Amino acid sequence: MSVFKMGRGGSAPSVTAESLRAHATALTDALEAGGAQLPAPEVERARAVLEKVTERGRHTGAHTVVAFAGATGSGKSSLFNAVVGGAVATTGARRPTTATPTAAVWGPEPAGELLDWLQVGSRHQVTTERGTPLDGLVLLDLPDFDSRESANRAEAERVLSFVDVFVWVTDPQKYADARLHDDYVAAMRHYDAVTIVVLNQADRLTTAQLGECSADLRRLLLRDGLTSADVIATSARTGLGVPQLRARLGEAVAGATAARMRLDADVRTAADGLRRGVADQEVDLGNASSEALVDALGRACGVPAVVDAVANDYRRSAIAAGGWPFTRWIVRLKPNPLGRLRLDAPAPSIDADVRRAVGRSSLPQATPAARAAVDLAARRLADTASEGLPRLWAEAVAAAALPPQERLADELDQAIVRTSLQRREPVWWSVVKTLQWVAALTALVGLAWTLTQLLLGPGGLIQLPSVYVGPVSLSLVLLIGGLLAGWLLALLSRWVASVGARRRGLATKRRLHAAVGSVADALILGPVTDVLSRHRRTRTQLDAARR
Amino acid sequence: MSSDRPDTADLLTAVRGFRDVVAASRLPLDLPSTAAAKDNREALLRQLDDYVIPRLSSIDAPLLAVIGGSTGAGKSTLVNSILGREVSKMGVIRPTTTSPVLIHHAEDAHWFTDTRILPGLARVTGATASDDQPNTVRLVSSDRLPPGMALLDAPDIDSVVSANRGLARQLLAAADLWLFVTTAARYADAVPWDLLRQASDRGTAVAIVLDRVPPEVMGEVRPHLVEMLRDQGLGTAPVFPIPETTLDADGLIPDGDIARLRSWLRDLASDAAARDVVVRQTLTGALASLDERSEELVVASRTQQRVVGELQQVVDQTYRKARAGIEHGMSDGRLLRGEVLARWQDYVGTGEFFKKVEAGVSRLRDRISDVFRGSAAPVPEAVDDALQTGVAQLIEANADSAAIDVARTWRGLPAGAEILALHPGLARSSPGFPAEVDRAVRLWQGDVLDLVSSEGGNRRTNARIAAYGINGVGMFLMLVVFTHTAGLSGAEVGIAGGTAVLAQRVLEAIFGDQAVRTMAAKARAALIARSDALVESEAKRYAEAIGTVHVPADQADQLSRALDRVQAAR
Repeated sequence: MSVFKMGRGGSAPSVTAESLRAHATALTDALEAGGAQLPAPEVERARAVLEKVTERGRHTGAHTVVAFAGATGSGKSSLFNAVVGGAVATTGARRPTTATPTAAVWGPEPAGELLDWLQVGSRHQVTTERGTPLDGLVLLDLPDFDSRESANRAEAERVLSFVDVFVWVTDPQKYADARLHDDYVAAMRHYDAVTIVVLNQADRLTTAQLGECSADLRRLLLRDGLTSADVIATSARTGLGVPQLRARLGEAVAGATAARMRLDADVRTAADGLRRGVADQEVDLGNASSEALVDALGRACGVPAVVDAVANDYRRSAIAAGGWPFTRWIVRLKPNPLGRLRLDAPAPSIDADVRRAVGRSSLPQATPAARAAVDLAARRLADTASEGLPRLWAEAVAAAALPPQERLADELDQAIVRTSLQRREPVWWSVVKTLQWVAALTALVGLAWTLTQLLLGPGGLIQLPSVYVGPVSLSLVLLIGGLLAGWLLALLSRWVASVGARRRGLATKRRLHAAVGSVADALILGPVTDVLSRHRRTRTQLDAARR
Repeated sequence: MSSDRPDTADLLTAVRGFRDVVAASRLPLDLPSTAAAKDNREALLRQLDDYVIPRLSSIDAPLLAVIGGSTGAGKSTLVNSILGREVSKMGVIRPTTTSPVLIHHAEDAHWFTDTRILPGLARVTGATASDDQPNTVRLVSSDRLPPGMALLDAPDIDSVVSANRGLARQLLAAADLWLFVTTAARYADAVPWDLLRQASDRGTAVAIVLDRVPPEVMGEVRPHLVEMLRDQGLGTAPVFPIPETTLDADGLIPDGDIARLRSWLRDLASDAAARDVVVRQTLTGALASLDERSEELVVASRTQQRVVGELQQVVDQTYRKARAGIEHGMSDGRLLRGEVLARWQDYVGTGEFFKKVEAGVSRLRDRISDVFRGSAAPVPEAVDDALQTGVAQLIEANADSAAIDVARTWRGLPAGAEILALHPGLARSSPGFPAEVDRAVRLWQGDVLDLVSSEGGNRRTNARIAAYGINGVGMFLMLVVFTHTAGLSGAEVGIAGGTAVLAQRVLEAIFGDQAVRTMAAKARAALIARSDALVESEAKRYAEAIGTVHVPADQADQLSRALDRVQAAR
């Protein structure tokens, strides 16, 4: 992609206003999404670029700003004068010669406002006939960037940040200077589409030497990262190469896309800079909070205690239901485990509301070990989530994974309280209960019968018939059978109760963990995922801005 | 000549001592704030080896004039022109010279063939090699040069080849005299002036060659350069202008244009006294510059020491917090809540029924003694496990959090990030830590049982212990440890109280109440000692990692002392 028709192959599509706008929007979005997690100096640079895009858009018109930049003594001003065709810029032997930039403007369109924006004071209107290929060109002669006058360097860099096309002017003596290559050409290699390199003072070399020298300069430019490094050999003194340079400048003006290309390269450079503060991918945490975290949170808010209480409550109630009616009252003396935790709501239908009104459960507060375990699980989650992320992002993830202890404790407690623990009474309870009563009644009847027979005897007032089952009296069979059946039933229901209690406990644990998991999702995983998705958005927007 | 300067030997010893201290000094961290000091340390060492020590040990050695300057200034052309033949490659490809050439008179060869000066560069003799060899200096003898002086054609100071820039600076630091070559296009460049400023600061003897001046601007450029030199404090430096001319058939500057320079060099070489003045000026300047340069090293040492200290501080603080967290967790009584408590209540079965009769502790005691004596459950394993898990968890979680915290804080510190990159394991507790914790808690339980049996001194007590089983009593003591100092609040008595009070009453009945308090304190101290040792060993890993980038505490002082010795001998 180049503003210059290189004459080799078709030139790539130039930057349209739309694509520049799209890139700038993507960069703006990335800055917004990245927030404080992007490195501050890069953000500042990107903001400056975005501002420049807006500003330059206002001044664009038909002007293309081209700057001659280079070392002191390379003959920038002489070349400038040769291109302009008059002694506009000061030339001299005393180094450094130029301290402030000079502008030359081609064409009828006024460039005053643009030059005001560039803060270039000394201006020259080039008188040409209408319609020359250079119409719309604003050519700047910049101060040097390598003399001991550091003010010159600062001024050159200031103006360079605004121009559309760079012309690096060097000479056979200085063409391999580190300052030119390392500090400028390599640092601005992204702008290769709008870069021209000129080897001035070519008259000092023989033709053979010039060829050698140009080839070496081209090698160095490739090393700097310019992909289409073309070198124009010029001589301000003999006029060699000046028409060629003019023609090249004319190409840059003709497209009128140089400004956009420069700005686009600016946006891409800024995005590149920001991209270094963003990782290539994020860890996918999935939707559910990790088992370890839920387990730790559950432990911290006393899930095992609740589960045990529920199981005990079930066992107790089951025993109460299926126990021998004669000794059942003893169970009632034992504490209701759910009551101790204030979790024994009257009925599942209204319990949620009631308990919400009652507020905190009286679950035992988390032990220090449990709280430390929650802390650790959250930190581990943050560690996993922030793997490979740059430091600022990793810190954001860590902060998101550690919600305030108080709030977490409160939410967890509420989650436990809201979870319905009561379940419908199993059918077998009432069946067993009825059977127990039947057995008890049978035993009672048998007892009464037997007693009557014994007390009132054969000579008594009331003669009850003696029915024998085999050799044993039926009354005795009823009594002993009733007692035995009750005892066996109690034994059986005790066994069934313990199995049921275990299952009830597991079911409760599942439900509680689901409740705790949703708190973990909302308070820990959610914020962490938010940071990660912010990271993803920043990354994709930056990549879009660099495309 | 050296006989009238008896102090040279002392000075040499002092400088050698100083050199060894500098060589032994370490700046192990790559901090932005000490990067310059690190580079300067290298440069200082090199100058001591390349120049100061050789010059002090042989003050009569030939004067070494190093020809330095920008790329394209015409250094090689100048050298060749002085000698009248091509000894150094010339051309339009920049940078032309990449390995230095040392030209000396045949009589002086012995001064340069050994490694007296520039010990880091290998010697090459003979014809120009087709390709340059890195880290070599080519020796060429020439009759055009008088004995007593040698020229060194150095690479450029400012081209894209960074190796050249470094070597040129090293060579200039080894010079008795700088023959600084610049041009009409270059004389205001920033890079050469940085070096000239340094030469001025160090009192190095400098002569300037203003090369390639178009004759028509000579009148303008030369006075400007002289003025700039004066401003820089180099007003006494001679300036030799050479006009831009067509070179002769051999590519050399016409004799007439360099006659002045050549005769100046010849005069200097043949006048022993003048030579001595130049040598001493540069040497004295170099010695005087040691002050400032070693001060920079001292400051950098202190900075690195402080940075490392900060890292250690982070570790200390974080792990102190972890220890406090563990201790707090053990003493505030809440370790008993949750798991442990639930198990205990299940076990002992304190409930409303028993609360009603709690006044009669004896009945409870009976029940408990049944429990502990009964063969079905000699040790309350569930409680034991829960307690062990609780304590282990408390220690592990606190230590793990500390490790993660340290890593996070370190990542924000330049030195810390560097160490973490070298030791990634530091971001977590060590892999064997959970096992260590389990072992420690088990050992502590052993401690408690030992405590119980040693306290059970007399026969009566022993008999009572036997009634509950030693494990049972130990269990009680462990429970009491976690509640003893707590002073349970009213609300808590309902839950934890039953437990702890019960355990405590049983113990008091056996040992007496003062003894129980002492035993609980002892058991607690033992547990804290064990957990402290565990945490301490975790924290020690960081100290070891820091040790690899540790700056010796007395490094700065040693540098100052060695420098004092040098200055005293001067």
